[in-house]
Amino acid sequence: MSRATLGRGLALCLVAMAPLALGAEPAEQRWVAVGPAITETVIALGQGARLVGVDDTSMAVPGAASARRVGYQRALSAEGLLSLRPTKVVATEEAGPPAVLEQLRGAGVDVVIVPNTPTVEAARRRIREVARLLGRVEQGEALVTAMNRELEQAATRSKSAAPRPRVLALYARGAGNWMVAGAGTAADQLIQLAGGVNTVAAWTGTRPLTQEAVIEAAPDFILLPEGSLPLAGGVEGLSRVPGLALVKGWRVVTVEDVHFMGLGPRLGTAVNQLGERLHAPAPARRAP
Amino acid sequence: MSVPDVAPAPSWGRRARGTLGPGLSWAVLGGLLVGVFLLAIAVGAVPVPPASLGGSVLAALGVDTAHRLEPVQEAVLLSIRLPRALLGMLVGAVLALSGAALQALFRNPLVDAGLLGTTGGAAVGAVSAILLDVALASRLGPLRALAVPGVAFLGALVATLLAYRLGVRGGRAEGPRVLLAGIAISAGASACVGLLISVASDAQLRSITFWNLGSLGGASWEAVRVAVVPLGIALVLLLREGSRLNLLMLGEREARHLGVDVERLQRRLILGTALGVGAAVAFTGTIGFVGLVVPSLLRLVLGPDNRRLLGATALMGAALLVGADVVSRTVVAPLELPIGALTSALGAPAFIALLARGRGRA
Repeated sequence: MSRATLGRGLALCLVAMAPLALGAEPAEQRWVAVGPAITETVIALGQGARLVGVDDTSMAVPGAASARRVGYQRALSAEGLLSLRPTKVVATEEAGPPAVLEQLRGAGVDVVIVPNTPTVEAARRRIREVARLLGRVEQGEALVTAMNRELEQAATRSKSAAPRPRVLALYARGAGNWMVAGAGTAADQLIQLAGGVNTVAAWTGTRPLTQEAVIEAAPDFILLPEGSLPLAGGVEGLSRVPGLALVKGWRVVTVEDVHFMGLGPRLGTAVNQLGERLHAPAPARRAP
Repeated sequence: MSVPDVAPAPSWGRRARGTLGPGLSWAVLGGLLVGVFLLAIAVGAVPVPPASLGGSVLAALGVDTAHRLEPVQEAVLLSIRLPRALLGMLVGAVLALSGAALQALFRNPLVDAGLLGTTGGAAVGAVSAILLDVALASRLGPLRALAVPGVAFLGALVATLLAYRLGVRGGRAEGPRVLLAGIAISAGASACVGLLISVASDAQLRSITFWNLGSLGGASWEAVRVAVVPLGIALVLLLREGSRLNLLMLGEREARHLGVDVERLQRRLILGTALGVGAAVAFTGTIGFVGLVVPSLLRLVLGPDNRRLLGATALMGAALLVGADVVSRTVVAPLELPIGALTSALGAPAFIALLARGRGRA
């Protein structure tokens, strides 16, 4: 059976079935979202029911649990995805492997790449892009406006507050494998917008936690994604992490895991919550 | 080059138990491969009814039928399952065959391309390409999909040829020296990978992990078209050397007396395995144990005659990998299990069992 023969067969089939497909099936939109910020936006726009599949990291997004898991964003499976019969795959630029994306396009799935850049401007663009794809432009604008308002609130609060708290953003790559988030990460943006100072802003990207770095950072706050706290064994366990054990006086604040992975539509809310906690008066501490 | 086509006494292990006649063993292995191949085409996350498949085949032949495949099903069959099964066959055949050939060349049943630095070199290449992916993506454009395999392939070739060069003393490659050099290069390569990993971002780290576990998920017609060249050359180079390897197993000096150009044979085999395993690892990541377990298993059944063993290992390696891939992409669909983890999970106990049996007899 040669490819050419099969190809001809495919072409014939397509021609034969085109009127059928057009007549029988209305344009039902079945989406696969890859990247938590994209998944969150779809849900925030009230279109969560369209999601037939989401990637691993999106499983942490509230409301995404009803969609099927399609695996890690860089190791997607073409046939696995196609078995969910999606019409559109909306993914970050990190989605892959490239060959799989090509195969999806070849099977007639519309693959749209929406960059996951961790800046506020990119977050606004992301919301607008997803809203446009969903045909919900107005709702998208409303989301952007709400986000802008919340970010302004946060900015006002952090301006009036002094001094700016020093924050060290940590997350666990696995039990006992701690990483710090430097400049250019979603966590770094979150800290800045909430009026804090990222203590390791001199580093770009994520780096393994080193004891000396913690001592030099001398943080007022340790910022963690919620999911990492159990891996540390709670706040108690965190204080035994090498490095953190040596500096005293820090407090722990947590945010939802998704805010460490990208800046989504709830960025404003997250920033406000974080800002409130960072600027709350320290609880009275007894002398040791 | 004329080499007497004699079947000399087998080298290590027990004598040919040869319970299966040559004809029968070919039929069994060939049938196995065809069966697994058809299975790989037929099953997967997207259901494809056999009636529609038959209908589409008839339609392609000009017969009009009621049952046809939907376009998505056609795409799944033609642009996902078919190239994937073909790449799996080629890679499985080359991995197993390279193992068998190297084991005969070094007269040691524990050798495979991992020991020659081939896999390590490919890993350094692949990890570097993954780290540079973002920087390279804009320049490469459509070639981006081939960046990781391309660099991994180069890494594999460089590492293997380096091991071979280091093993040459007085114009002659000495087996143990080549292996020691290969082990040293592998250690160096894993150190490089460790250093590279420490600067990797989370996403890159995950990519590296997935590459390391192996997958046929990246198989496309483009990948098959590119990979078939080195893989095909490797198959041809290695499959022809059965008789000469038989003679070599008598001992190097004896083989020379019988007219074998040992150096040339070594060069050809090492080049063949570097090409083949390099390309295999480059396109699918590290897939363990196929090169080790398949030849050992078949040696037990067919005996050590390389003229039969080489072809048989290629067939069985192909069947094993395609079969493992069917498992990897169906059991947790729409997710996939990494196939390298699967072959190792099957291979490790099989190998331990083999060793345990061997110990009882020795």
